[in-house]
Amino acid sequence: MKQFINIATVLILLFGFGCTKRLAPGGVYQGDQLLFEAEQMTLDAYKILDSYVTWEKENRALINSPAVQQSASKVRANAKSWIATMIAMRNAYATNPTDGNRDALEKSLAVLRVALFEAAKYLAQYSTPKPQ
Amino acid sequence: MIMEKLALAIAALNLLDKLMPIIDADVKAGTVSVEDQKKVRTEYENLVGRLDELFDGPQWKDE
Repeated sequence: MKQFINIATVLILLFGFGCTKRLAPGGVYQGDQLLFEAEQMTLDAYKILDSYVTWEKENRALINSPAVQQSASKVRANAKSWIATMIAMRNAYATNPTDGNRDALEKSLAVLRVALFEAAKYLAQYSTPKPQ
Repeated sequence: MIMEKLALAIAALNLLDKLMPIIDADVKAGTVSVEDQKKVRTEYENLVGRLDELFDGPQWKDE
């Protein structure tokens, strides 16, 4: 069951994360689902990436994988920039919701999705002990 | 060695268990209430205001 959950996690991150939701009328987003998605994704991306680099650092010796260490290093080096870019693109879109600003915001969302997918992939991989 | 592998697997599973509610909430179909929209906005504004300090922890240092 756990293995199923782990595979499902990766698939959800790959295909379903940030699926459009309906916003109840009268909310602070005034029905703008992209704006809601951008803010929700920013929050969740930080939580997930923070958990990922914590896990990698606390278990580095046991993980013993250059690929995972390289992946976590990439997250450490870039996560703040990815999130800052997302915030900037969100602000540009909120101020001026043109097609160009929408596209730029959607690209920022895609960058975060890729990073989250990679983190989930390694977590799923290491949550199943390999036979010696 | 087996114990170490199990410890690593448990650590990864614990983390995934912690992350699943976040992911579930994101992909769950339905309507986001006005109150939940306000909550997301408040949390988001809090994150934006604390962006620098959020990346100060030791887990964010590569060393």
